[in-house]
Amino acid sequence: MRKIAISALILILTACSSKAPSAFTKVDKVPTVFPDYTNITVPCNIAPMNFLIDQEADRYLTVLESESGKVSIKGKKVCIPRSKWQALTRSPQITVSVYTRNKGQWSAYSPFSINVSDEIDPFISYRIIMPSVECYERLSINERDLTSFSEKVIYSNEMVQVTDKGQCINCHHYRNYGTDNMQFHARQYMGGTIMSVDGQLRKINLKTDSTISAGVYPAWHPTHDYIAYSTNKTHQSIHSIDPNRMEVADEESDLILYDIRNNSVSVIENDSAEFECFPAWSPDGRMLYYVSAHYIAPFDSKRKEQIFLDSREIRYDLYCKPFDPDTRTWGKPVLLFEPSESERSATLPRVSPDGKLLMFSMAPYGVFHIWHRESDLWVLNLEDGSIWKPEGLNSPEVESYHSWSSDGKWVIFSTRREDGAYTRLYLTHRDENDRFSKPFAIPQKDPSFNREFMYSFNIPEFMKEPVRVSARVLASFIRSTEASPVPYSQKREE
Amino acid sequence: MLSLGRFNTHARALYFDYMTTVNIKRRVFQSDNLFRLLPYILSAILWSVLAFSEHYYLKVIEDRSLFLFDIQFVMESFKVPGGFLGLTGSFLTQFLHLPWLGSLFWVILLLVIYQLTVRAFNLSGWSMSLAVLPPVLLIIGNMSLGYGVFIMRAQDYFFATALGCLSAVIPPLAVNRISSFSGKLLLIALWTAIGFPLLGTFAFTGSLSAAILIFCNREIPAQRRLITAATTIALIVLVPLLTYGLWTSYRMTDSWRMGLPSVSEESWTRAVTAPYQLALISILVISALPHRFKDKDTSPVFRAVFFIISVAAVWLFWFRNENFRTELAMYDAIDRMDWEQVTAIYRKTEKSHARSDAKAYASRTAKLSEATDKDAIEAILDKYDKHFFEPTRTMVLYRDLALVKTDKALDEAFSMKDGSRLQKSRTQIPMALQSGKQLYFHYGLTNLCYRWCFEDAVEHGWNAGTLRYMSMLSILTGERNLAIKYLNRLDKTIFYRKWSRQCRTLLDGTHDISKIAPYDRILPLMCFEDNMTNDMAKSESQLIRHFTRPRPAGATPQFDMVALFWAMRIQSIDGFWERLYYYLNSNQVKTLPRSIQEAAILYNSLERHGVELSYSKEISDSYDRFRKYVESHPVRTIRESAYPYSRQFGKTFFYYYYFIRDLQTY
Repeated sequence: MRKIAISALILILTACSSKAPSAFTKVDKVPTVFPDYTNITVPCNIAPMNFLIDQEADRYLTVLESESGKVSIKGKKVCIPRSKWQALTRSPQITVSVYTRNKGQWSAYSPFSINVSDEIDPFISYRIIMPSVECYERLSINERDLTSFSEKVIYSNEMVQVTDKGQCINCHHYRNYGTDNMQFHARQYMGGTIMSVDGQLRKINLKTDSTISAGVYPAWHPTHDYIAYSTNKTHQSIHSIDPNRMEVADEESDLILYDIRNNSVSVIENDSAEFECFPAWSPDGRMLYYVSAHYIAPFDSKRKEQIFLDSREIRYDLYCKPFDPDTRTWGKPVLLFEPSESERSATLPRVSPDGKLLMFSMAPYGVFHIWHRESDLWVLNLEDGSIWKPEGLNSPEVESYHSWSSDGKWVIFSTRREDGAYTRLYLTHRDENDRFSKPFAIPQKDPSFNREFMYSFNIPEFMKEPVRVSARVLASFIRSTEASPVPYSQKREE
Repeated sequence: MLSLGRFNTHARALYFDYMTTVNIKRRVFQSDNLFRLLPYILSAILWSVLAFSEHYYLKVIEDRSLFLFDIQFVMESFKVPGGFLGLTGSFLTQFLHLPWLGSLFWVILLLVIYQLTVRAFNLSGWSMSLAVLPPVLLIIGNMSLGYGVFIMRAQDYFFATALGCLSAVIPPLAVNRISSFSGKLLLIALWTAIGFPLLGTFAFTGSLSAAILIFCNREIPAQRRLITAATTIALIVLVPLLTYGLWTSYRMTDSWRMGLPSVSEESWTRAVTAPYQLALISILVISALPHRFKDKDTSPVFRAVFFIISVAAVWLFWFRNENFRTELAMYDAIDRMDWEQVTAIYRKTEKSHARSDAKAYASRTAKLSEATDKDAIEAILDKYDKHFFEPTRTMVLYRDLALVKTDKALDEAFSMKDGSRLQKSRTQIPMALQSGKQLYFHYGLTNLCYRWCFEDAVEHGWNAGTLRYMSMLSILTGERNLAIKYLNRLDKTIFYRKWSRQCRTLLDGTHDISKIAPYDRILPLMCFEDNMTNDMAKSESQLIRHFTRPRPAGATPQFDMVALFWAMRIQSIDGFWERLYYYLNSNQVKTLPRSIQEAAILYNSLERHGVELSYSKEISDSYDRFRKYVESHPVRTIRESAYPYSRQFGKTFFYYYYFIRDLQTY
């Protein structure tokens, strides 16, 4: 018996040996792999970059090699053991050689490289949502450990809502990449803005008689206890045949400031002829960036309809507004970039942590670019005013929401480049010359995950640490707490 | 000593007693056999009804469910307690694609539940009848849904509830076979703790029923019985509370109903879940039945009455509605794109009501002749309205779609009965949810089709039907990768794999989909300019708005034909002339379709437009007859006169114009 067992073991081990074939035909191109991880730059602490070889063959063999390690993996799906991956990533470059065998003949594709670069914030969070129109039965805000494949639910609406009383959750946001100070909104049933302030939970209602809605898109002040929000009366409509299926537009929008310590709301901008939206602070907290569209239409029952009729003409420009956080005093708004002049519309300004670059997304019109296939990521250099579309970053499909890592070396953004409908998260590296590397999908344990998964990821945000409050505690808090109203206070201007 | 005569008398008496006993036993034996066979006979009948009469219903249930041979799908199932039940339920539900097979599995499952219930609770004699309660309630649960099938959140309910009931009788069966008390207690504890993630609340029913068996067993010391009861209740309370942190997909207060079906409309919840809950309660009641009652034999009459009541309850709650059945049959035919069949189904239903309509009319006329005042007339009309055949809007729209697809809409659409009978339903299920994806897809309103596929997927989960439409939609809009994503899902099914592979061939770049069905008849309809819209879940209103908008610059002959049809549908005279002009210009019409001639002759007589068309003699004669009939049979009210007019002119546009008015659109 023992002999049989040993023979079987030897046979298995022999069968599993994964040496590169000695005889093969060279194929003068890199293999097609999914996700496309050919010639990319990855963080040194990222989870194994598992991929699948996206072409048919009888057998597959992949050899990953760097100065600090080597691993050979058989099969169409290349799932790299974590320990081996960590060994590989100790060197600055990994060479990947793919061999396939058809009808007994091995072929060797041109090797591709994976460059290993700066460390990345270990956590991200995002919302899981179907790319649907109105229904939102299953929504959750999830946290992903980028150094592994572990994922957990921060909060899910299914933990609170009941059949006819749905709850939408959105706009999770953190102060300075930490999770002790975080917020998200729960809308409708048991709704309110859910905040963790120094670890203490709060549920507030930011809607006042003097503002058009509760707070929507947030920007937590980096040094003081303020959060800038846009307030929006948002509607959505469906294109009957346009490839951009949906249109999300504001009927009104303003900017407000929530003073956390004093628990009060004041207006930042509320020009009725302007749609101010998407606030973002400079790293020193002395400048607020935002977008705004000039639009005039009567405030009557037909306004909403009119806005959708005019939606292709509503274009947003980029503004900034000085702010003194100590005195809570605002300066005059300054027009920074006017894409509307050239029939384009900019949204989602996000400033790099070094304060040098401002990344935004731009499409021919509108503000909600996740439904605009033409939307691309652009960069504005705040030091010299130059604006450019980073080479190789964009695709023919949507690129939209983006977020800088805490050291500004990485950007995570949402894109629908894989199939045009489901939003996936991609990372890109920014080098010292402000060039962005070829983007790549965040790795998944099963490399075919993105193809199979029937939900979108949106609002990716970096975090330095995991969220400590559990989903159960959040759900219990939301269920048991009424949103407390926030009083309105006057704006201070220079 | 006994005398011979007395001995003979005694022997005769003994012999008589013996024979009486034998006869009684034989009768009892015979009736016992009959009652033992009865569940099998009823099951065979049930299977026949399901397989051959309710097959469209079963197919829709399957169409709205999904099982994938895929690890991610399996893992996803376990995101809620009761995941194993959901998974196996979904696995079995896919076999309803072949209704005879799926229903056979289900009927066998019901029989197994019956048998195990008998064994688990040692039922004999009359009490065996009680074992039919769980299957009967499961039948009622599944067959009373009606339009509820379109709002069921759980896709596995058809089988999962039966599997749940089956699992609930396993613990009592097992405790009967375990002799040691600690063994029994351990079994209950393990079943509760491990069963909850796998079976949801059904695990608790099993534990509770086993605990009740022990609690009611007087041979077990009272202290032990109390320990069992207390432990079981404590575990049932604590297990969901302690494990809640593992899940993030439901409210804690729902912990004790996990695994039971749920719906997306609150007002349906109680009605939908009640039969299944009662099935579980019935198991608990049976387990609490004292032994002395179980063994007590009663006359066969009791058992016969019990079975009759059970069958009557099933009959009573079984959802039977002709319009619903027709809708489901048409739904199936549309999915197969068998357009002739769609129209044939409609015609068959219409024809099948001819006799009952005539009967209702005769009866109503008799009643009306006795009526003296207006109120009485109205009351009679109200009463008899429901006796006449009237289609739902879904039936009409399905039929019209089929006629459009076969180029017969302008000839035949107005020759069939029309109407807007309300769904026989607790609440009206939006047409967009029920049939939106089919109507919008085939009329080329791609983004609205996308919308309703997704709304359905969000609310009720992805199902085979939605995946098929999303695949076709992506092929139609040229979104190759998206089409592959959906086809990949369908590749992992048993029954749609072949279909998926056929569709995949269209994506290899060598096919011109404008020449391939169904795309060949949809692409010509997609010639309109984009506009912002929101159907508000009302598909017919949306289609009316869409096809009555100003003519698109690149309108195709097919679009002009459909636009003309919708102008006639809404009885717009101006719209008719305008669309007729475009239709005649873009289509090579040799003979004007019948309904156009009828509409034109009618509209010309109503509002002279100076458009002279050549009408066939048949149409002219028909219109003359109609006018004369109107003169000789003045219309009192539309409701009163509709039927006699329909017998004369029901197949004409004249009738449609005058008698099909102010229809509610959905």
